[in-house]
Amino acid sequence: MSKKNVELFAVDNLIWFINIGLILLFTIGAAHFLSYRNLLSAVYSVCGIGFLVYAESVCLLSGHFDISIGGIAAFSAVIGAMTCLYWVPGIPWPLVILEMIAIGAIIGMFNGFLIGKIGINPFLQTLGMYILLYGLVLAVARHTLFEIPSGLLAAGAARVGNIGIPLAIIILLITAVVYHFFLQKTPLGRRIYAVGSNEEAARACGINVVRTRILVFTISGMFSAVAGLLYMGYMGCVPLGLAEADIFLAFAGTIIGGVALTGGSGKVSGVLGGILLIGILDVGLSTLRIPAHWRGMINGIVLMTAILVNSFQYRIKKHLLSQ
Amino acid sequence: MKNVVKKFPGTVALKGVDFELKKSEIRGLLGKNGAGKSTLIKILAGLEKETKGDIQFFGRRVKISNVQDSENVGFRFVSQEPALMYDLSIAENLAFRDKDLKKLFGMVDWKGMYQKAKEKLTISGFDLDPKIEAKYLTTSEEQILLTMREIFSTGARIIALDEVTTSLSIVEREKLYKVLKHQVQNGKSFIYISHEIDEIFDICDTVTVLRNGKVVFEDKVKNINSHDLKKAIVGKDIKRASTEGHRKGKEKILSVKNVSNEKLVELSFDLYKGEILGVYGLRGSGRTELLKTIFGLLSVKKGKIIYQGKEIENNASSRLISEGIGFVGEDRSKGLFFNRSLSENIVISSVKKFCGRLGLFIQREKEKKMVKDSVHKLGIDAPSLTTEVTFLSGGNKQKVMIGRCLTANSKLYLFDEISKGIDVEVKEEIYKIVRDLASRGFSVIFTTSDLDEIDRIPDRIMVLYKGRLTRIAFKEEITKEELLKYANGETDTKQG
Repeated sequence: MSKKNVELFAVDNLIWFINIGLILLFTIGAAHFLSYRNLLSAVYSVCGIGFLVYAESVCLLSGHFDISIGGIAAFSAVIGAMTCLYWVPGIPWPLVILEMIAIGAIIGMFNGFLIGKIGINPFLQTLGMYILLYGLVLAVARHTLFEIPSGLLAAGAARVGNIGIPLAIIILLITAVVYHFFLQKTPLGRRIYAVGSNEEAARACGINVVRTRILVFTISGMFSAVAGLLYMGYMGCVPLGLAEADIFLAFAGTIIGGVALTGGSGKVSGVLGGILLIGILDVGLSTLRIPAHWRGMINGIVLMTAILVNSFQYRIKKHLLSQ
Repeated sequence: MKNVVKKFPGTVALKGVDFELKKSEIRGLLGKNGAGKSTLIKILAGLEKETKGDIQFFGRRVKISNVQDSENVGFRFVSQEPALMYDLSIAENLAFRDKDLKKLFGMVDWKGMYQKAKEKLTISGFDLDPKIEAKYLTTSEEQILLTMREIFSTGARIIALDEVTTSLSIVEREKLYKVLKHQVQNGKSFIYISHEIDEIFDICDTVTVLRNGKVVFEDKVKNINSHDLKKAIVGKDIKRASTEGHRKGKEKILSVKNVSNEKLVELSFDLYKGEILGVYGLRGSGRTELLKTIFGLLSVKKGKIIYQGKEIENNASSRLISEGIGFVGEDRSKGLFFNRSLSENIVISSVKKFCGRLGLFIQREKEKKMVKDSVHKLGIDAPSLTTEVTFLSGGNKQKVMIGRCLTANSKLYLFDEISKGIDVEVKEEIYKIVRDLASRGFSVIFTTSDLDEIDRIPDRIMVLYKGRLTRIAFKEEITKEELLKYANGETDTKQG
């Protein structure tokens, strides 16, 4: 590899260099940051939000965005919990998980239909859906749901192997591989990029834009439902405000991961890097014993800097290529 | 302007042009596309910087390095692309360019604004309510509003009008001419760009003709006739290009029968295998719409289009691609995925072809081989197959779009203004590609407004005027003068 290729590689995978830099910084600040347990908990803490980032990223790649992802996570978690607690006690847990994912898919498809087919603005549609879903959560559950069967909690709570790797991390990573494969290797994945990159050109290339958009929101809804499942296990209960404020972090993670707000550009490895950045920051700041009242601000500064650095990507790349 | 030279990478747009405009003069600026008219105007407007040369306003040398400089010396420019604030009223749109409007403590004087707008509209003879929002105007009204905005803008002294009348009716044109003549008496000057020769005689005092970046003709309009002017534009000394035509099979691939829709009027013609048909026409002649109609992007209201023995349905683009029709649009920004790789751009219309037996997953090796093949065949110059298309040059971008059709195994290629904005060298390469396609038995329909191109590439030429076919003939049967004549609406009963 020539020097130029190395530089191009660095520009394309900027987020991982930012992550490594952050880990080094935290290690200098507190040597015990770089422990196996610490790093594991950094990743574990972002598994739920990780799936919200996946959900947001697939929408952003297609040139739209989805505000209702947290609502879908909360609503599907509530439905899943209510099913085993009150509606069908004793139902096998795999069925409940399927039920949750199906609910996510249906809500997503509904969003996608109204946005893609009818032409409703995605911001308005998913904002309305967000409000509707948290309203439904309150109406259906009334209070935080406890005593959820362990089978349903396992995805977010169980640990595997003698070193105790959380199952959620394995799910997050396996999904990353599948997601990557889906975007890069299937015709639908290619079409999602194409629609996000230039809708008009996509139409001229014979791509069914409406169908692609509906599928994108359906996939996004399914990712969100899995996020709900992992949150439920992580917390051991289903609070009414599950993931309610996480839409902002999901956006931040996606953008930091190099997905263009304008659509059509970004990759799964970057998105995964964006997810990890959130976790590293969170655990790093508590390792350094930064008081909680400062953390929000520091979080904001780091995220803004990462976004700023990332937005220079295009210019740096153009410069490198014109050499 | 004296001895103005403008070089672009790979081409010289202006080769030492002297251009003079007197006070209270309307000067026609003519020339084929690519002759350098728009470059000249862009230099005055501060959108391009001259490579060499002087610009003087009223005897004073000025430097125009940006749009603001150009505004300050009093230069205004109206193009064919209406740039209005569509959610604001006519009066507000006009007010943006009127610095004389009284303002009380920096507040907008609404009453004065409506009054002045009304005055301007009355002077121009256009009966429009200044309170109406611009989005409710028709295309021609938008064009009029835009023209009025610049003509009446504060400090305007020289106004360049670039084909502003194409969308106007005859009555509207007459009104516009009146405004121009009135403004000339107030000491304003106009540069008038048009492809319509007759218009020049209606409105201009003097005329300058550019050809290949040089001034080739300059005179008072009253001293000349339209024949002289057309000759000056075309250039009689251009040699006939040596692209031999393949007049191959008699096998029809496409039949257009009496097709009418919003932009086309009872159009009929046949296309044979291995044939290149050039469609010539001015802006608004319906040439782009013709291609879009064949490709199923615009619907057929009456008549039918038969491709390989089957009638084409409306909105069938995606099926047509798989049946072998490839379309490369005029506007690259509407055809390419800029932040995706070269390779993805080429295969997107035919991804299914690269999938394995189950048709689920794309096989990288197959894809790469195909893309490499296209890149090699078309001579696309790119750092790698994964480079995003946005980093490629204009000519290479155009080739990527052709490559997409090749990869989709198209049999009929529809090329809309395929060499627009591309430097001379790549243009030649693209001509060669088109010729190669035909020699391999594929058919091509391409549109152009470039007389040189229409003279060199096609086997047959079809001329359109306002959606009607005015002439179709083998290229040997038609001269450039005739082409211009037919493109300006003269019809012929002889059909080739």
